[in-house]
Amino acid sequence: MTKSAPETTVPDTHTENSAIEASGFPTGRFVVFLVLLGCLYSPAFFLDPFYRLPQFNRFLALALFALSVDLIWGYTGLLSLGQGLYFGIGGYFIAYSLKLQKAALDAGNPAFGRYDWGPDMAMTDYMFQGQLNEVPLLIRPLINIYTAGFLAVLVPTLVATFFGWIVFRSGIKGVYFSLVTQALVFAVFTIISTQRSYTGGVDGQPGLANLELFEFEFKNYFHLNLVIVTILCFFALLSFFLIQSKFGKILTAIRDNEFRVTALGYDTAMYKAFVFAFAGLMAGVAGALSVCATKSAGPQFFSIEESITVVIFVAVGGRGTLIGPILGALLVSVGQDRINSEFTQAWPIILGCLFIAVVVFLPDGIVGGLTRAAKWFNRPALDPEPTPT
Amino acid sequence: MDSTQFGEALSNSLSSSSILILAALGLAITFGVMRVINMAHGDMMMLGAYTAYVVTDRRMLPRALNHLLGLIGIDADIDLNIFVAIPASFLVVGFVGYLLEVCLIQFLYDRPLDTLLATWGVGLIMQQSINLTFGANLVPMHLPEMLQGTPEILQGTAFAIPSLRLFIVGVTLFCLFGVYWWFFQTMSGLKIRAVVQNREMAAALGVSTRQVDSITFAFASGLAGVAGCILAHLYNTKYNMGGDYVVDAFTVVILGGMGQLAGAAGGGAAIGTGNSFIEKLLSVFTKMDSPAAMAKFFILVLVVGFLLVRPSGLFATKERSYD
Repeated sequence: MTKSAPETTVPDTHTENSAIEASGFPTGRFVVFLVLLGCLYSPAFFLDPFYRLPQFNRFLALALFALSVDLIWGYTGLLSLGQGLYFGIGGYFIAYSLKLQKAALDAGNPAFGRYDWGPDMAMTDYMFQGQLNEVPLLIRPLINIYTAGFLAVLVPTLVATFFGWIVFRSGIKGVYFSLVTQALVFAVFTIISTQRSYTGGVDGQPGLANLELFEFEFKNYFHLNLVIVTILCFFALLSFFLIQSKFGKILTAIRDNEFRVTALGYDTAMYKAFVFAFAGLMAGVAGALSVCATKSAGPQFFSIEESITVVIFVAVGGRGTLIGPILGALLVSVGQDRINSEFTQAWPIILGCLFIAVVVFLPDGIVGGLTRAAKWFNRPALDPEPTPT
Repeated sequence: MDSTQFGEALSNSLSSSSILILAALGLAITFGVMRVINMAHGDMMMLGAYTAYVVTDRRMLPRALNHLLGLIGIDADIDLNIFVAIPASFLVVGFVGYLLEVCLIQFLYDRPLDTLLATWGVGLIMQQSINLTFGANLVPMHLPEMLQGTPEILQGTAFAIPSLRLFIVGVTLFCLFGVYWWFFQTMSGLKIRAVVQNREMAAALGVSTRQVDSITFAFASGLAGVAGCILAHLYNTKYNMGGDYVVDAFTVVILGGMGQLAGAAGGGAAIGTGNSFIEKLLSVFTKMDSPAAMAKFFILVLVVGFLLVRPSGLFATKERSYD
C-alpha cells in the first residue's frame, strides 16, 4: 500500500472505465479516439472499389452493430443475445424499399415512378412466387426510401423500448435476460424464414436497387463509404459523450453493483431501458447501412449465430471500451474474409478457438490487454492519468 | 378437430415433449444447478446422434467388429441397434463432457456469461469437425423391427401412436427417474446438492468439489447424448442440428425455473404439448404456409410473455442469488 491519494489504492477491476474514476473530461483520450475514428476514412482511398470496398462498408456497419452491443454489455452489463432483432428490423425496412424500387424499375411502368405506390405497383419476385395478387397493403408505402429509413430507425427503437421496459420492470437480469432476448430473436427468425411470400423466406431479399437519396444515386461505393463512416463516427462520438456524462457513470455503476445504485435511489430499470432503446436504435441503423452496402438482406440477420458473432466482436476488441468493438468487428471480419477465401472449412474451427482463447486468456479483449500491458510497463511511475487507448 | 387429429397431435406431443425433456434435463443440471451456460449442449446432442449412427450403421462399427472377430477366427454377424446405441451415446458424449469440464469449464465457474461464449466456440469446433469427418449430408438411421409400426392394441384406434414414440417416452421416464434417484436418494447426489448450495462449506466438510463438478457435468452431457441418439431415430441428423435444439432446451429450463429438475419435466411437457396442439389447430383451421413455424413462434412469444409476468418460472424458488 502506498500513501498516495485513496483512489489509487482502489483495486482497478474494470480498467479505466470504473465508475469510481474521478470525473472530468479526458481530453487526451478524446483526441486519440478522434484520430482513430478519422483513420476509418482512409481505407476507402486505397481499397479496390468494386470488390473490397463494399465488403469494408459491410464491416463498418457491423462495427456500428458491435458498438451498440458494447453499450449495453460492456458498459451496462446486459448481455443481449438477441440484438440481431433490431439489426434485422432496420435492415428489412430498407430492403423492402430497395426491393420494391428494383421491381418498379424492372417493370418499367411509365405511369409509376421509382417512389410511387398504389394497388397496381410492381410486385417483387418472391411475392410472385408466393402467388400474391398485389403488394400487401402495409408493405406498399415502404417503397419511399424516406418512409422506410424513418421506420428503420423508429421501429427498432420502439421495440427495444417496449421490450426493455417490460423486461427491466419485471426484474429480469443476468443470464435470464440473455436467454429471453435469444428466445425472442429466435421466434422472429422462425417467422421471417418461413413466410416466404411476405419476407422472401430463407433466401431473403437479394438483388436490391442502388440507394437513392435526394436524387443522388449511390452507384459508387466510395460515396456510400463516406456516408457509413460518418454515421459510424457520429454514433461513436455520441456514445463517447453519453459514457462521459453522469448518465454514463450511472450505467457503469449499474454494471458494477446494481443493488448499490438502487439503494442510492436511482431507478435502474429506467436507465437500463433507455440504454437498451438507444442500442436498439444503433443496431437498426447498422442493419439499414449493412443492407445498403451489400444490396441484400436475409433471415440470417435474425439468426442466433449473427447475434453471438457480434458479441464476439465486442469480446475480442474489448468490452467496456469504445474503440474496442470497432476494432474487433473489423479485425474478425477481415480475418473471416481472408481465411474463408483460403480455407473455407477451417474458419468455424478458427472462430471457435478464437472464442475460447479470448474468454480464457484475454477477458477484456485486445484493447483491454493493451491497456494492461501499457500499465505494466509504466509500473514504477505512479501516474494518476490512465494510459490513453 | 376430430379424434384422429387429436390422436395425431397427442402422438406428436408425446415425442416432442420427450425430446425437449431429455434435452432440457441435461441443461437443467449444467445450467440450472451448476450455472454453466452450455451453448454446446445442442452440439453434444448432435455428437450423440452421430455416435448412434456410427454404432448402428452396418458399414461402420458392426463391420469393424465383424472384421476384428474374423481376424481371430470367429465368423460373426453382429448387428447393433438403438438399444446399444443409447448407452454408447451416453458414454461417448459423457466422456466428451468430462474432457470439456476438465479442460475449459472449470476455469470459468464464476463467470457464467463467459461460459456462454466459450462453449459456443466449442460447439462451432464440434460442428465443423463432424462436418469434415462425415460430410454435410443427412445421415439415415434404421430401426430394429420391434420398434417399427404401431403396437397391435392401438392399431385402428384414434390413438395410433407408433411404437418408437412409446419407447421414447419410456426412455425419458427412465432418465427422469434415474436422475431423481441419483440426486435425492444416493450419497453422491447429496454431495452434488451440497456443492451447489455452498461450495466452500462442502469442501470444508471433505467433499471433493472438483470431482463432483466434473462427474456432474459429464453425466449431464451424457444425457444430451441420449437425447441426440433418440433424436437421430426420429428426425434427420445433420452436423448443424444442435442449434435447432439448444434454444428450445434453454427455453424449457428457464420456463421450468432454474435449479429445478422438476421444472425441466414440467417445462418440456408444457412446451412440447403446446407446440404440437397449436400446430395441429393451425393446420386444421387455417390455410397457413407453415403451421409448425407459426406454432413455434406462438410458443416462444408465450414463454417470453410468461417469464415477464413470472420471471422465476413455473416451479419457482425465491432465491435472490439466482438473479
